[in-house]
Amino acid sequence: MSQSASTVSDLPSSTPTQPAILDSLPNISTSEKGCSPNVQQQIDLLLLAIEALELGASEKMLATINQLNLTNIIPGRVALWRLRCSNPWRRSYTRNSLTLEQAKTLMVLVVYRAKDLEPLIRHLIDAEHYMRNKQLPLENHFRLSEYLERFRAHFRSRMNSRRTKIALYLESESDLNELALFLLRRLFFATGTKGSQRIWFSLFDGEV
Amino acid sequence: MNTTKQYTKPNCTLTIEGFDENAAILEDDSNYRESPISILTRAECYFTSSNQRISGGRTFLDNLAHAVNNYAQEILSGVSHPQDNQEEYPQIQIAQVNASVLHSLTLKPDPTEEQIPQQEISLKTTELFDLVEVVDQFYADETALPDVSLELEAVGKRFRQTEEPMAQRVFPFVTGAVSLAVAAGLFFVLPVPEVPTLEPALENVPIPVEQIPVTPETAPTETNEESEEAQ
Repeated sequence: MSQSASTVSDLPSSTPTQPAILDSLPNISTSEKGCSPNVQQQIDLLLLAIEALELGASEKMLATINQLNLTNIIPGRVALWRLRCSNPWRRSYTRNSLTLEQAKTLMVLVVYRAKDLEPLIRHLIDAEHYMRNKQLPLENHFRLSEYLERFRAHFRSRMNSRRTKIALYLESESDLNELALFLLRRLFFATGTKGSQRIWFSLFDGEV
Repeated sequence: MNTTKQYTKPNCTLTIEGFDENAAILEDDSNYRESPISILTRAECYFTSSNQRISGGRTFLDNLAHAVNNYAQEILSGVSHPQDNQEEYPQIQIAQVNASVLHSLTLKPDPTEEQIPQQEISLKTTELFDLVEVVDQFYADETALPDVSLELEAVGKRFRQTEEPMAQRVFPFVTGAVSLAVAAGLFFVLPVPEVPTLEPALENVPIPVEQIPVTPETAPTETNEESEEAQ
């Protein structure tokens, strides 16, 4: 109890002036506590997929935060990690809720990183189609298998295996691959002209 | 004068033709460069890889944009919801064919016009993305049909799929009901326990009746008197 109270105070407080870039994402009415655990889980998994796509992803995320002047919401590596620990699937789940501003910041980060990675994501999506069409195992495609393998490794190391859902994913490699490919498709659609708004609304599907 | 606008992506091209109803007024404006389209005459969508094209008028474009929006949202969130029924023809529907990697776009023409066949186009995910992208580019273009805008909203709670399948959710209830039925059967087989009758001797014993003080005030005074007498 005392631990959770201390972690709340460590989180960067939201400033009254919201960065203009966050206005591109419309406000969605959430509960007083903030975003739902499901939304927080989705945001963290999307960031996990980006980490699986490129090496040194966390450094690039921090560079993007600096570039977009979002440092007042996410001042550094630890703050980013704390926000991501709002995912209830994580081993280090902090039981904090993201405010709408924090959720928007993380989604802007997801969208900008995905836009940079668009050629690679498109290539992997095409590869998945090709392999499925030829009825070949996905692992036979080098780049796709590398993404899936890295995603599975990140998922195993960071998610709480005591949770039933996680235990089921860890038991079945194909289910985990499907989750990785689902996140890849989401990232792909987020790179479009109105992709940021589309993926933002999709987070709240079935919530409002 | 007709104006043509084209929105292009590698796998898909959307072309719209139309004119501006206020063209005569705008001709005098020397600063105005790009002529807008406020009345659509024709829209065409061309898929490069399959070399297929679908075309129509304003209803076609509205239905296409609507179907694309709904389906893109479904792909993004994984929450499937019934697409709104398009009342006017040609109706356009997009559905998943194979494990999220193949999608089919169906264009149903007006059934009264028998000479126009139904068209079905298979789309890869990248082709679907390009279709979504050209529709978004059209929405983002303020000079093309300014009365049309992209309206996104989150799908309601009632369409949320439960993570547990129905069989698993029903299982505890069925097990409980079955165990209750079994227990009831077993108890039915058991003999009814006999209630022991009271001995007659006990019935004849008179029950002693004690004088209970009516009010609490009298009781202590009596006890005081008794104690005094005892002294």
